[in-house]
Amino acid sequence: MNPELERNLWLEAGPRRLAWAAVILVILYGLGAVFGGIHPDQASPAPGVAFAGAGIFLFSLLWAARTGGGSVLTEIADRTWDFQRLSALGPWSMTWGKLAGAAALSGLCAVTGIVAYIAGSGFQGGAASGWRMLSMLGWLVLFPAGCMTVALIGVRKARAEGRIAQSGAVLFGLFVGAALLAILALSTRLANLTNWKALSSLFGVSGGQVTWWGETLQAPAFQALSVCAFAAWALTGAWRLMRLELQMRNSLFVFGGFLLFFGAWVGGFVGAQFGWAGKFAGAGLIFLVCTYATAFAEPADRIRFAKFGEALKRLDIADLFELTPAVVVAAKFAIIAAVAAAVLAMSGMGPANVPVAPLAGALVAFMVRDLGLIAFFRFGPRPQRGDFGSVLALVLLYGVGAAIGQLVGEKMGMAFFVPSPDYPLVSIASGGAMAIFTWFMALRRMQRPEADAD
Amino acid sequence: MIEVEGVVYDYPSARALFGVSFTLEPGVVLAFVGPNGAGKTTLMRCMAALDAPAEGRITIDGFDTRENPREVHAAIGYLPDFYGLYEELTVRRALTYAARSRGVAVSDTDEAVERAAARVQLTDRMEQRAGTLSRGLKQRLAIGQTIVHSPKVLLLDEPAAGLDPEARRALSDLIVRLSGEGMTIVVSSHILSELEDYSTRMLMIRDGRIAGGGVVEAGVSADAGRVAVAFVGGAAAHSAQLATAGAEVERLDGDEAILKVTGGPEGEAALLAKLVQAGLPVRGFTASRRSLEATYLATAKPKGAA
Repeated sequence: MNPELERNLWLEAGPRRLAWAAVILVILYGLGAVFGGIHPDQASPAPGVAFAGAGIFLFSLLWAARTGGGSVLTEIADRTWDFQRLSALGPWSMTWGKLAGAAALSGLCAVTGIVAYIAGSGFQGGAASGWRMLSMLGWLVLFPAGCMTVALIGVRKARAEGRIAQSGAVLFGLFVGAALLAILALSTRLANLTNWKALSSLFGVSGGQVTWWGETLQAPAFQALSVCAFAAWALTGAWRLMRLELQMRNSLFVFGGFLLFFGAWVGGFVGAQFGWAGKFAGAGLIFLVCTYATAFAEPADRIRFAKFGEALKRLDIADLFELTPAVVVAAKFAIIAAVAAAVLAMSGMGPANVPVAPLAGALVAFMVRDLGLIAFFRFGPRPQRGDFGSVLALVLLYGVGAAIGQLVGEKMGMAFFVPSPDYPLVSIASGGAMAIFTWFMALRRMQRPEADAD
Repeated sequence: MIEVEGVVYDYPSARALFGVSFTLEPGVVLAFVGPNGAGKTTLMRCMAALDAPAEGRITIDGFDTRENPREVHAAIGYLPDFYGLYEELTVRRALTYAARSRGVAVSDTDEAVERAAARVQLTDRMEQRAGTLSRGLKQRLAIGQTIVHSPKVLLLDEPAAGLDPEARRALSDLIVRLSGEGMTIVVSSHILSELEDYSTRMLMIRDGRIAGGGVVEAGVSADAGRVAVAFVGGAAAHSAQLATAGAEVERLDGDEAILKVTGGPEGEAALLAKLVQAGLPVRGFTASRRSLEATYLATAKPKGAA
């Protein structure tokens, strides 16, 4: 047996904990059956059991997510992480051993929840219940694996900044990051371009059909396969980061593969009326979201950044493969997608009523500006650096700046602070000028020596 | 067994190691000494392939820490200065996990666990939870976990910190035993008298640089070319007579005078005869022995000293 799995099972799924879990499950399902059965409209206890199953599944999902992330963060807190890093286990064994072991009890509870939910919900068996079950199992992998990935990112970030990663800080960062990305991803303009409404309805319980890359597919099947695919990527992310923790080297091909997958997945939802330019624009917008996410996820390691700069000067391909920050890869993908969308739109393969090319240029200019701003705040000498300053500056520029711009010059004024489809050239000029300024300031600040830690 | 070449390590705020180089042969017990903040722990972490140096190269048992970190991890045992234990596990399970996670085959695990427990004298506490052990016993368990896979190289960072004298003695005995089995051991400590019991070499590091000429002989050893002569009434009372007798005095140290001598045992016998003939009240005549602390203090130059 995988030793990491075995150790986690010793700690997580001992006989006493298993017995307690069984008792609590019996009580909850019993309550569900009793209260479901006494409702005048429901002669059968099945809906109550299904409700209890859904609740237990959701609770177990969150519990599994917590233990998935905690399987790394508690090692840091208990000072056993270095001992683990020195083990002979491969990164994959370490990853799955931790996940399966830490989430063993919660996973067991979740599986009972899935079975109770499917059995009690009146699914008639066959494909529908099969897809639903697969989908729920997919979430059960996606949540803990995603949380472990975030925890490992937190560990690397903290180490680069001379801190010790703590569960609270990582969770706070996860929630703030997810909220900001959700706001960005669900903005009306982005939703219109990427057909996000169709995408979000995909995860509704009602089911139905979904059109993806021109094919009409059954939504439950597509949903289940999508969740499983993202769960696989979350596992891959955790494994790749585990490799780095074990001092192994990564190239960025796998991250590039994820970006391609994500871009193609989102691009498939863009309606045919937007043409190929729209599909590239949709993928580009997702690359943009990934660029912002990786800009904050990247450890603020000034030494690694300096080495990357030196490798770039030498054009040392081997070193560049190892040292290139993930944010650079995501930004490159965003720029390539933007250029492709612009070229295709100008060739008549895009929507007639959207200025794709200038808007893409404006988005890229603002992205470069924002990356400069983030670098300015995150890579400065300690202690005057951190993620909070970057977030605050972005909120001020996009929120307060845009409001002031609108007050002063309406849509044109706003175009100085937000990429505007109405005045895209103004946005390009403004974004470009600010990009030069922020990067000039960032590079100056990054070269300033650090004060001694003491 | 260990080759360190031009290792440079940078922290964001400062450079911690400046081109450190040294070589260690198999079976050596190296006392790794230096003041706080000298870079000992940083260098040990680089040697353990837990941190990567900015420049330079480290090879352990022929494996490069950058190119083959996992092979290095398999070849070493490393006990950091601040370590944790799985406090909910019993001693047996903690050692079993350590053995299995370090690649010991399932069929060999029980034997490896028993052997490690015996080495650190924990065989009578196998079913006790780690969290209930005393500090000294926890230290023993941590060392047991570090050596359970019989590594070729053992890196111990301040292993005796917080231990009582009895536990320190047990640790010294263990290191001597492991060294006798051919393990190459690097131990950092501030307690030089304790390192003296088992170290065969010493390496001093100061301000991120090797000091004192690299890896030197350590332990209580014969101070070549010197004898310690004790006199009735103290050495200082006879300094004039010593000069008259033609003895070359290196220093006076309480009752003893450290005298330089050439010609090996015959030279020493001739010197003794000369002192007695000169009427000096000699009450002791032994080969001079130099402690690790004396070596350290002789080679260490305080910050700012010329």
